[in-house]
Amino acid sequence: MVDIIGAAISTLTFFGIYLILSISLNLEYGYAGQPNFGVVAFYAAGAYVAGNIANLMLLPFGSGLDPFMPEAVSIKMQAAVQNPLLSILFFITALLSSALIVGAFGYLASYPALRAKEDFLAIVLLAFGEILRVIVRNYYPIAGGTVGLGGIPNPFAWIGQTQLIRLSYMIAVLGLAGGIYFFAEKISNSPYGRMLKSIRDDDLASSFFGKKVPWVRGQIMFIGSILAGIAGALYAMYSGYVQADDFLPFKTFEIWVMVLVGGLANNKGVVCGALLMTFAEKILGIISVELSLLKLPLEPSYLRYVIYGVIMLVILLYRPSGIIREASLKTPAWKVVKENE
Amino acid sequence: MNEILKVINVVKSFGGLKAVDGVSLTINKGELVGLIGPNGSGKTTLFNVVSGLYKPDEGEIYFLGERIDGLPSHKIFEKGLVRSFQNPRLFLGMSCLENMLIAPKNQIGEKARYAPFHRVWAPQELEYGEEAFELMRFLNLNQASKYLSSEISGGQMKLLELGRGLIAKPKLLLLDEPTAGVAPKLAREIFEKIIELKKSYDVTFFIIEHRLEMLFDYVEHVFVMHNGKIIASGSKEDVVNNPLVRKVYLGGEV
Repeated sequence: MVDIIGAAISTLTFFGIYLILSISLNLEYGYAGQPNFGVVAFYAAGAYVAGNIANLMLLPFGSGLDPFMPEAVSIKMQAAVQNPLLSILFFITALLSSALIVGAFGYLASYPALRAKEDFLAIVLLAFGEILRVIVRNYYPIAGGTVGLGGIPNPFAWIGQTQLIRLSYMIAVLGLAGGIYFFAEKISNSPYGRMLKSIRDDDLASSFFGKKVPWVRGQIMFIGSILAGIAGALYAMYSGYVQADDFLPFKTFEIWVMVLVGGLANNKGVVCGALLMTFAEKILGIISVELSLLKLPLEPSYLRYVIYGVIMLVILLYRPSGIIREASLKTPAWKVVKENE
Repeated sequence: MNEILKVINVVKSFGGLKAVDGVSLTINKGELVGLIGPNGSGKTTLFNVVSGLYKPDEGEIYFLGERIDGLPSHKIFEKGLVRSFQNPRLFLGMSCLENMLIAPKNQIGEKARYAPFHRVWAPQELEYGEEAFELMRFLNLNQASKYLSSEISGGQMKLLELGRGLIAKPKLLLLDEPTAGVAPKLAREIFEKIIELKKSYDVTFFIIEHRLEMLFDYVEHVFVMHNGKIIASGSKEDVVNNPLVRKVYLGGEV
C-alpha cells in the first residue's frame, strides 16, 4: 500500500527544489538567453558544499574520523538530533555557503564563454557538468568518491517524529521556493529584466544601447548559480546522502523540460511546469513499481524517459511557447499605455 | 568648439579588402549630414567603425574632442553617439514600448542591486514611459506600442528604430538608411519627422541614404564614398555637379 501522506510530502518537497532550479534556469535562459546545459553541475556543487558543511560543523574537531565512514555518519546524525540549535545553525550556514560558493563557481565556469556566442556556453557547461561528476566520483577527500557523502542531517531531525520532521522540512523548502519565486518576479518585472530580454533578443543591438553584455551575462549566471546551489543544499539535507550518480546529465534535461513546458521568460509558467513534471515523475515512479511486478519484457523504470520525450514533443507541436505564454513586463511604464487606450 | 565628430584617416580592412580606406571627415554640431555612395562603398562599415563595432586598423576618431576609436560600443553610447541599423535590429520578443525603453541612459532599475526594489526605480520608469509614449505618438506608433516589435510593419519598424535612437537623447545620431524598404510617401514623412525632431531634440544627424532626390531636399552637407574613400563632399550642388560623382554613382557621363 502506498503511504499517501508520505508521498505527498516528498512530492511537494521535490516540487520546491525543482521549482528553485527551474526559476534559476528560467532567469538564465528564458530571460537572458544563456543556455545553461550544466544545471546539474551547480545543483551537485550545492549538495556537496552542504555535505562538507555538515562534516565541519557536526563532526567533533580533531576526532580523526574519516567523515565518509559509517561511524562518522552516525555521529553527525546524532549531533543533529541532540542539538536543535546546532541543527538550525547548520541549516542556515549550509544554505548561505552553498549559495555563495556555487554562485562564484557558476560565474567562473561560464566566464570563458561569456564573450562568445551562446552556443559555446551551452557546450562548455554541458561538458563541465559531466567532468565535475566524474571528478567527484573518483575524488575521495571532499566528495567521498564512490562511497558517497553521507550523514547530512535533516535540520529538523530533533523534532523526533518522522512524519513531522519531513513535514517541517517541506514547509521550509516551499517557503524558500516561494521567497525565491517572489524575488524572481521582482527582478524580472523591472528595467533589469527588460535589459536581460534585450540581450537575449539581440546582444549586439543591446550593446549599442549601452548594455555591458558580458558583465550582465556573468551577473545572471552568478544569480542563477546561487539559486541552483540553494536547491542542491536543500536536496542534500533532504536525502541525507549524496553520491556522484545522483547528478547524471538527465537531471539537467528534466529541468529544461520543466521550463520549456511551463513557458520561457514567465515565472508563473515555470511553477506550472515544475508542478506538472514533479507529479508526472512521482506517478510514473509508482506505476513503474507496479508494472515491474508483471514481469514485462522491458524495464518499466525507463518508461519515464519515453513519457518525458512525448510531453516535450506534444508541447513543442501544439503550444511551442509553453503552458503560459511570455507576456510584457509589468513595470509602471505599462500604465501609460493602459491610460491612453 | 563646433566639431562633434572628427574622423581622421581611418582604415578598416577585412582580409585583403579595404572596406574603409583612409576616410577623413568632420561633422559640425546641429547639422544634418548625408553619406551617399554605391552599394559596397563602405558606408555601413564606416558607421560600424565609428559606433565601436570594429576597431579601426589605422586612424583616429574624435567625438566631442574625445578619442573614441577602440572603445567598446556601450561606452560610445554613453558618450552620446547612438546609431540605427540598415536592417532593423529590434528586440523581437518584446513589445514596441519595451523596445523604446531599452534606450534611455542611466536607468536605476537596470542595476541588479536596485531591481528588486520597485519603489526606488518606479518614478523614473514612469517618467521614461511617458516620454517614450509621447515620442511614439509623434511617430504614429502609439497604436502599436503594446504589440510585439515582430508584429509591426516594415515601415513601423524603421520608425521604431528612429524613436529608440532618439529617446536615448543622443548628441549625434547615425541613421543607416532610415527609409530603406519604405514606400515613397512614408519615406518623405520620415524625413519630415527627422527635421522636426532635430529642432526639438537638439541632435546632429548623420544619415546614409540611397533616395538622393529626397535626401537632397533636407540635407545640409553630403559626403560621397566610393571604394572605401571619400571622393567628394560639400553642398548638394557641389556634389551633384561633381563629374566623378556623376560617373561612379549617378551613372552619368564625364
